[in-house]
Amino acid sequence: MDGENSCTRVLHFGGEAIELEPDGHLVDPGQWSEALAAEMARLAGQELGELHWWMIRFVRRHWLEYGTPPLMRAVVTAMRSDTGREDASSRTLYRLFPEGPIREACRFAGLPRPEACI
Amino acid sequence: MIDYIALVRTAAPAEEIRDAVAAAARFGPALLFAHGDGVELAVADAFDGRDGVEAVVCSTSWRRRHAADPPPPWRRASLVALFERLDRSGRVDCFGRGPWLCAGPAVGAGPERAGVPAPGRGLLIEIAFAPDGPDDRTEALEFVLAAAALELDARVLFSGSGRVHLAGADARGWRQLVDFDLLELAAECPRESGLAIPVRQLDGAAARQWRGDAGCVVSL
Repeated sequence: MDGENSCTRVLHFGGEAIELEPDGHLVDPGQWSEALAAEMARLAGQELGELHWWMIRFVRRHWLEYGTPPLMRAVVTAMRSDTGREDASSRTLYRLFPEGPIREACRFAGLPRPEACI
Repeated sequence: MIDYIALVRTAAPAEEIRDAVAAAARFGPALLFAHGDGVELAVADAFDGRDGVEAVVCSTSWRRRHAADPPPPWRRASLVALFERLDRSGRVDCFGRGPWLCAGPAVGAGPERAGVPAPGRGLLIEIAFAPDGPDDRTEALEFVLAAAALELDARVLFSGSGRVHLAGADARGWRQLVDFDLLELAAECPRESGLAIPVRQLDGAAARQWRGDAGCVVSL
């Protein structure tokens, strides 16, 4: 990663300059791809497993459909039904993304940082 | 223990809000919580702080409108600060777009009003006005989503021009509440209203019953 300044950073990936907000979210969500998400995670030291990918895709679909990130309650419900993990809970989500499940999933899904305080 | 809550969602009329809060604060601790456009009260010099009154702006609403911190005595907090106190308050007044509304337990004329048991249970969020622009639309939805995130015993009633929230493509955010069964939503309207979001439709008597059953009604 290079080209850092006080406002945004630039990630060079796949021959493109990807501009990132200071908090690491894409400036242009249209530049998102799963390959880019994998690279962002690698740079953040985050290993993405199957459940991580399920959540990233779910958060992205939710945003596109409803215009907001999902509530954790909704993610847990969907995770139980989609993946068969009956024991899924908010704790499961925090194990996946310890720094904040929804915010981190949004970041790797190429979405803006969630605005709401809850 | 907070005896009185003033939920402010409009910057005006500041005089009325100030007088109501000052009067209520004589009887016990009070919370003045500003949400949406109501956060402008913090910069309108309409409330200078007084003993027993906690002045709070919704952090998300504030961040949308201002970069710096709110001036003292105001502080930022999430909607949790409001919801945590709603069911323990003796009275809630909502200063919004319409005539200001009193909700929550019945309030007597004197200090004995504090702690009067609620006649019903749970929170009813009544959305009675059409959105006044994109921020207002977003902030009404955020208010309800916060209640859902906290798994409150809450229901949402759309009435009057508030039914506009459920119309057109902009209504899609509300649909998550239905699709994920997060809160019970209803609209006070005739059956043939053709809402974009499949919520329960109530006639006037049923809507009054919802209001009567609630321990606290917050009108947005």
